[in-house]
Amino acid sequence: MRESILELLYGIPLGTFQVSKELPYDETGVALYTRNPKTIYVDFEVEESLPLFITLDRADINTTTSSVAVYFSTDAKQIPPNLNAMITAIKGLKMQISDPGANRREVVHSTEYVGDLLTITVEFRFTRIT
Amino acid sequence: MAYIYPAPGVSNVETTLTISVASNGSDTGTAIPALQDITVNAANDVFTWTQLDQGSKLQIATTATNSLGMNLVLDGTTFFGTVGSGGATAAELGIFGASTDKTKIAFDLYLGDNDDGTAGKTLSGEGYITGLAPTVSADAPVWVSPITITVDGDYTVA
Repeated sequence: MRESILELLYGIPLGTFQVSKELPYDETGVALYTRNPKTIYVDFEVEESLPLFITLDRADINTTTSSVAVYFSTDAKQIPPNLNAMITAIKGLKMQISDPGANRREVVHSTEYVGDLLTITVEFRFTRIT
Repeated sequence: MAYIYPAPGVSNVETTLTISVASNGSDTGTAIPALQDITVNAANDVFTWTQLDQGSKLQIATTATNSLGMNLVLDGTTFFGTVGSGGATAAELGIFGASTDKTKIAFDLYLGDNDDGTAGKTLSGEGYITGLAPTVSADAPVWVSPITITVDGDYTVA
């Protein structure tokens, strides 16, 4: 799922933003996406598996949710003119990301201020039966 | 005490339901997997009358209507059988075939082990599979269905 998102990100108009293949790890206590504004990072995929049906013979029928978060930041004092369009384009990848069998595809985005930076998180959550 | 204490997934301790074709003595039976719940119904009818010398109604239990009610997650092999309609055994017929063919089946419902370690009880009988209503939804895209075995006659307990 992470690879699919990275691949699709290269296909949308990013303007002055760029995509990094690195994970958004902290470097000396500062996340890479705040250290490097206008660079888009895609986090590692995490999974959560919960039972969908509980049966008397312990059949293994679960619903598994995979989540991948996309992070980037920009100068809050000078918002790039294409920011909203870019966030919309990234959220629009929801139906293009490769995840066969996903019966529920969700995307949420949130913002936060870190100093004079506006950090944006776009999280994709896909659910399937396993 | 000997509370009935099935442990899902533990062989000989979990609750199991096995069905076979009642008229086929050589049918060794097939276990129904992925049952979500089981309800044993044993509903006696009651005849009620009044007498001029009694201040309350009098009642006597008459015949019982017996049935097993369950919900299951569909398993393709056991639901449709290896042959389907016309099969000679429960495994061949499948649950759906036994229902559409109106085949009388024999069942053994093992209730599960007791908490004191003694073997649990088994309810047996014969009846017909009815009430199938497989359903699926986008939120939970796995086929599930209610299933009823209407019992012909009495339960036996062993």
